Amino acid sequence: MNGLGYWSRILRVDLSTGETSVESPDEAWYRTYVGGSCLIAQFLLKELEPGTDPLGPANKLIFANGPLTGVPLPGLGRNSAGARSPLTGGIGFSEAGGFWGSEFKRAGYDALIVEGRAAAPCYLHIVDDHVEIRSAAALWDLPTMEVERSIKTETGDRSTCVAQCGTAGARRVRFASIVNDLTHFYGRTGLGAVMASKNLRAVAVRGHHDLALADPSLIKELRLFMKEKRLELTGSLQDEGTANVVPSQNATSGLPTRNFTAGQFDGADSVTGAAMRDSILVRRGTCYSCSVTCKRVVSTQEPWNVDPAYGGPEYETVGAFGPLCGIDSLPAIAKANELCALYCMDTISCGVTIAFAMECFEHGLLTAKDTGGLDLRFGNAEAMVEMVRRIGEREGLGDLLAEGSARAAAQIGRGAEELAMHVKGQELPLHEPRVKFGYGLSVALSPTGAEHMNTLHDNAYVKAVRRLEPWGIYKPLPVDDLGPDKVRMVLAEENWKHFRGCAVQCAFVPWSVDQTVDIVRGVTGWDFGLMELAKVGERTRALSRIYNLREGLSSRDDALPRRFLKPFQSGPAAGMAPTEDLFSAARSAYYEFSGWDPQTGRPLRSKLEELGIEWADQHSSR
Amino acid sequence: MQISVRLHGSWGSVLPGGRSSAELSVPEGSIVAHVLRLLKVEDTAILVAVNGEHVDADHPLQEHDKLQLFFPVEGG
Repeated sequence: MNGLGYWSRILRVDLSTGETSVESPDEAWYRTYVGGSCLIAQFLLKELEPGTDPLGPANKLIFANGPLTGVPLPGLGRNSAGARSPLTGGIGFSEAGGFWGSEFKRAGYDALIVEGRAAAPCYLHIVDDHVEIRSAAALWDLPTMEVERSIKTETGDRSTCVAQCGTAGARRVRFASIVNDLTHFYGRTGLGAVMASKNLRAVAVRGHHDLALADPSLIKELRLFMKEKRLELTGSLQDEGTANVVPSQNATSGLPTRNFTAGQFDGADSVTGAAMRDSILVRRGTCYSCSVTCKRVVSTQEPWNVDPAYGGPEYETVGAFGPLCGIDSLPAIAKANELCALYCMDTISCGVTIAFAMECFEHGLLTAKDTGGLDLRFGNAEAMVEMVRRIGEREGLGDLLAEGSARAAAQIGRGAEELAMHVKGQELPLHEPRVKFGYGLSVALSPTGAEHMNTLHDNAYVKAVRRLEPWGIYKPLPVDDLGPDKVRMVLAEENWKHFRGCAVQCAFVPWSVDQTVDIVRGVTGWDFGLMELAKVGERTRALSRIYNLREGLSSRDDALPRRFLKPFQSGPAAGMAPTEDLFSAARSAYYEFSGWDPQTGRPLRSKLEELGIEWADQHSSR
Repeated sequence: MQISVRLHGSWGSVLPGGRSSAELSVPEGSIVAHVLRLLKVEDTAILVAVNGEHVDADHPLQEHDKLQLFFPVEGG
């Protein structure tokens, strides 16, 4: 394959023995599993024993590129990481942008599988074929920025790219993240805790291999298209960042507020992307080869003193530490974001868990005695920021909240479980299932627990469905529809988005499905098409599903928190919520349309055979 | 007559210079639907507000109206 999307080289490092090896799968294998999340799912299913301790040496941490990682087009600087999740107990994977993925690709690898546990803190240093395990004893307790700086100094190469876990991982915060280039996070599913459990603080890479293109003129044509259409397609993202969605969310009752007890927030105007641009934004950041520059870099003075080296908050972060906690202070939100970057924690799970604790406090389930005197009410920005710090340090109540909202609720008891907004143990992103029913189904069925990147967002298809027409879907549907046609829409969107997570391609550069097919053709030379693309998405869902069933998750875990079955009493979405019967019928349809058992959701052998992954049937729980 | 247009939630911009807001000149007697058609967002804008109030596509526009267009949110 010689760099046409792949190198046919997968690096395996056993930290227990110090041994490294390289495997070379054939082209058929790459076309089947492609990269990113599908590649991760097949490795975890094949190689992990059932019941593997997520934080034990038998778990495996995988970094996986896709065929598009490192291709010089906007939105293609991404790759994935995965492992058994310490947060959900099921499959964990998460993507990041930045520069690390493309540098790892240029080092000549498609994936890195880290096994075992080092005897002492270490980091991996990879320069092309040279792979070295180095001591990280002096780095273990340092914040992320100092680790990044130290490794660049030690390697003597400022162009070295560093992916690392932080001290939150070392303290086994269950939603600890991995970060690359200091501001680009593999945010979700607790992969930072897995990395730290291996005594691995960082993976530093430098590559010198040029990638090849099967059809350079086709790639050039696509580059010119995006250059010409940049402002029309992504101008607002550049101007205001991802928090540009706050007003739209608020207008539709879709801005989760005070732990999802409301969908509109009085202080929404203070936390928009425009408000950030006009107050604390100091510059815009970007990823490899991307002209969109949607990343924010912010700075504030007293009392929060936010360091711009840690970037700035995305929409999800603004939503989690802002409206969800009843807070309208962008500087306080920026401080919470900075602390999460410093400790290396997922801002969604962290913010949603704090909002959960705030509601517990409001209801008297937690008291000032539990919080060490903090008045942990909605709207208290100082208490919110202090609680982020305590979670990062596992100090006081922070030690319990570092377990995530589901485990914390089980410990608190007395009805606290009803206030924990999670699916399969992972906290909900900042979107409201009551104003987009298909999204709610997607969230409940997501293999990694609640997430928002591989899901349907119904309001994109209430007026037109042009993007879905290639999948045979021709009819717009209202947001509160959850019939069979909506389920078809959910599956078409999920298969497409899961493919994107295998390729690996950014959601914020709006390449069409046809353009994505062209990019894959132009990079790999494959006679690639829509059917092949959709099958990769289906394989990712099926393999992930089997992994989860094998670990004891079941259809009972494919459910939303009960709060989302009760409508808001006022506002534009008053009276809207899926009923249990409607949701249950849609879930069965989802299973059945996927070729899964309509009751249990177990992928049928016939479906696995059709997808060419019948080997997975032996791992399927019966 | 002059109106102002503000986009919310779209990734791109149909306004001059790729900005999120602009002043537009539209004929007297225009309604919201005319502006949606002019900007080619009939199929993508999910909500419209004029001077802070949500309105339908047949809402008549007046001089100096502030038009807000809300687009679907897919991630963040």
